[in-house]
Amino acid sequence: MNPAVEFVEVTKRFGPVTANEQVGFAAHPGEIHALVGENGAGKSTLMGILAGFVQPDSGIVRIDGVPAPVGSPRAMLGRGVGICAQHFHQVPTLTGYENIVLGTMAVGGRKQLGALMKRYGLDVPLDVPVERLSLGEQERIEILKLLYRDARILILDEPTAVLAASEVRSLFQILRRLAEEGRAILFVSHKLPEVMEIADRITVLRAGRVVTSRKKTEVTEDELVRLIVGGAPPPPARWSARVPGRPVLETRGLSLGRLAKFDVQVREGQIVGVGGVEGNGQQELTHALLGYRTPEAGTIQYLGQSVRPWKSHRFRQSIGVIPEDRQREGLVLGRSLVENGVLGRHERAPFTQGGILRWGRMREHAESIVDVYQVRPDAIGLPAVAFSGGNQQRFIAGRELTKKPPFLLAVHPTRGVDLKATQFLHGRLLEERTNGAAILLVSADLQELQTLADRVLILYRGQVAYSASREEIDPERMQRALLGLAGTSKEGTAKGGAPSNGPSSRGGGR
Amino acid sequence: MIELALGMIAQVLRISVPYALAAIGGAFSERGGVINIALEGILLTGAFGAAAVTIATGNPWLGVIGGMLAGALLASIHGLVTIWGRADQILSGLALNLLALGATRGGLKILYDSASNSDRFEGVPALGRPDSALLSLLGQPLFLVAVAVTFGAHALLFRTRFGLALRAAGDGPRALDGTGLSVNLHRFGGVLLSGFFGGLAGTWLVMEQHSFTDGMSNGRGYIALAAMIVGKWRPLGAALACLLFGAAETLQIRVDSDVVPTQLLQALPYIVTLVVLAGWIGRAHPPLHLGEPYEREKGRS
Ligand SMILES: Nc1ncnc2c1ncn2[C@@H]1O[C@H](COP(=O)(O)OP(=O)(O)O)[C@@H](O)[C@H]1O
Repeated sequence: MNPAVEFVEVTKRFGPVTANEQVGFAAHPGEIHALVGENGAGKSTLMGILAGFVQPDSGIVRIDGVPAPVGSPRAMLGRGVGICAQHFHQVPTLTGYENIVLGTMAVGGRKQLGALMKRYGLDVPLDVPVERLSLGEQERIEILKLLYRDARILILDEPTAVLAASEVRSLFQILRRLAEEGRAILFVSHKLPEVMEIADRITVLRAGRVVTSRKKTEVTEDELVRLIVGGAPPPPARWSARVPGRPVLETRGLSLGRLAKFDVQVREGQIVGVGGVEGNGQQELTHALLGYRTPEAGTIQYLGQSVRPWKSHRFRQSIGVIPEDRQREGLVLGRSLVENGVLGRHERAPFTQGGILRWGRMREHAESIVDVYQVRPDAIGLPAVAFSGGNQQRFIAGRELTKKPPFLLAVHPTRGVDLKATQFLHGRLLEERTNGAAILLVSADLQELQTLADRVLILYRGQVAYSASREEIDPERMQRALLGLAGTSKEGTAKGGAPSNGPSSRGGGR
Repeated sequence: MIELALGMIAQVLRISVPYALAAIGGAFSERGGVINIALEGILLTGAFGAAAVTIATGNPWLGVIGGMLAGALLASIHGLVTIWGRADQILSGLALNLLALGATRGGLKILYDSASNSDRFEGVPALGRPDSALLSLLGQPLFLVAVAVTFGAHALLFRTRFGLALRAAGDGPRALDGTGLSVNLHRFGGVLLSGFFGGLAGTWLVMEQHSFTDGMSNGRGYIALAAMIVGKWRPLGAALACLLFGAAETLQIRVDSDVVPTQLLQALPYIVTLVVLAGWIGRAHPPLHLGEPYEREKGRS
């Protein structure tokens, strides 16, 4: 049988950067084929080539044994290729239904969609503009779109990055079924445990080249890590006990939208982690803290002073923020790292003197961030948009942490970031904690919360459904709280309950 | 008294028609993602085309077609330059407005040996000769065409596959590309339609006036863009906004203005537009990718 997809000596360069170099491997019908590699290894570019969005400089892509015309999404679609990209290819203002039928003859579309939804258990509202859906729902729409077009080769570029564990479960069930029907599935992911669970075959890319392509049964997770990073992996970040200092940030009864009466206290040298399925109040929390939206009720205390809405600008300048959306909130994509390096601090010494920018200082500053945080390529003159996600994140983290802020808000700091960068960032966060920073970490990744946090709070429908100090964490109960299965914690829904400096938190950090 | 009121209504409608047609044209261009301030020039070119063809052939219906084609010609230049040439859309529009002004002036000189106006001609003949102002407007074939265009355009944008794809070209071009449809062709289609509608608007002006005069678009293209924004990039909304602007203009003509300074009424369209843009009357969202040429490989992952 011919492979469903076969890459033959595919090469793609973006100016001086080689994204794919002589790439060759094959994916077969009925196979879930994982594509792994560090940020910037060239996975997205390769999948872009397969979907027709990226024109390779040379090489052949065979579909079912026949060379396909490259560089045309239309041609690839005609051959049965469908992509569910990292940033979904959706029209935000159109409804799910409209997005799905866009470009097709929508005769009897509804009935067919109804049948598909039932068959695969893909429940999702179809008549709401997709911009109002959660990321998980948007992803379901994308998958429905692929099925509606009867794609036989499905590309899923980091489909689990935005999903909670339970959603990942149901996605995997669907993927299994699709593979059993004889479709080929290309699955891009950074999460190796997931890859080891779902993949039949694994291809590793490093610096644009295929390092290996083999059956899952022929490789262990540890080997995989070595193949990805090209040597011994960096040691995982190590947490160590530390006595927290005085309170730095404290909220009381903070309410905004679905976030209800949220109490938290973060002390010097302490990391408090806030987890939960996306859309359970995390965004309201960060927006309220940053003053993007005015809380409906409650107070925020910072270093013993109340942060009033009209003072939130000053507050924001004095803290560090690793924002949720690095491309929109963290960087000015079109500008160089030199300028991005002083974002939010450009009007302060040493970058300004008498209202005049000091470019020399700004360049030195960007150089030092790139150096210490190992941003690649190390060219501070390039615009931020030219860097891969992991490198953008390193740069933002570098910029925020070199401020030495008393308080750091880190929102999904390692989302879509590769293993090496993740461990590096974890190490840096823990180091800041050791140096006495108070850190509020918002993350959907329970593993990350357990690695870093002194104390974990789980939000469900805007309320704290689980709260425990590091030593007391009961993974099962935490999972259940995530899903809103009641009666999970002795502290229960901490409605108006003890702020985290209650009795149990004193144990935290010891 | 009733006669006076009906006369007023007729005048409001008359004034509103060219605005509405042009505003609808603008909506088609911008829904696809292409800013079209060339509308002013399109109006002017359309008016000139309609006059020239009518005078040359003696057939006003051919003139209507000529006006629409002339508008479409200018629009297609805008489309080629901005969509495939990736030129700045505002600059292209400004340049084309200047070009239209110069070219029609030159045309006047060459065809009619005049610096200010063309020969006079009969417009599209009315159906019957009623004596009421309102009935006579309703008896004008072009007016009926304009009304049909307004509703037809709304249906085209919101009820057809082309309309869906056009909106996708402005709100999510990459998604459209991913479905195998061409972003650029759909955008060009939108710009071309704006040329037809804008040309028709110019045709209306010149048929009302029975001759072409230099610079007769007189800023209507810009007011139409304002109406398009007030109407939230929807054909029916834009037409309603034009009625509002038309009413203001009628008042300004009719009301002997010791009470309200005419300048204020003249500025009304722009004031309303600013109010809408500032979000005081419901938020108006421009198409999400308005003004950006589409490049397939640029959008990262
Ligand atoms: N549109 C683009 N313009 C310039 N460089 C790009 C573009 N897309 C990708 N690259 C570069 O190509 C390399 C591979 O990137 P990518 O395919 O996104 O890797 P991955 O998906 O494995 O993280 C990176 O160095 C990246 O900076």
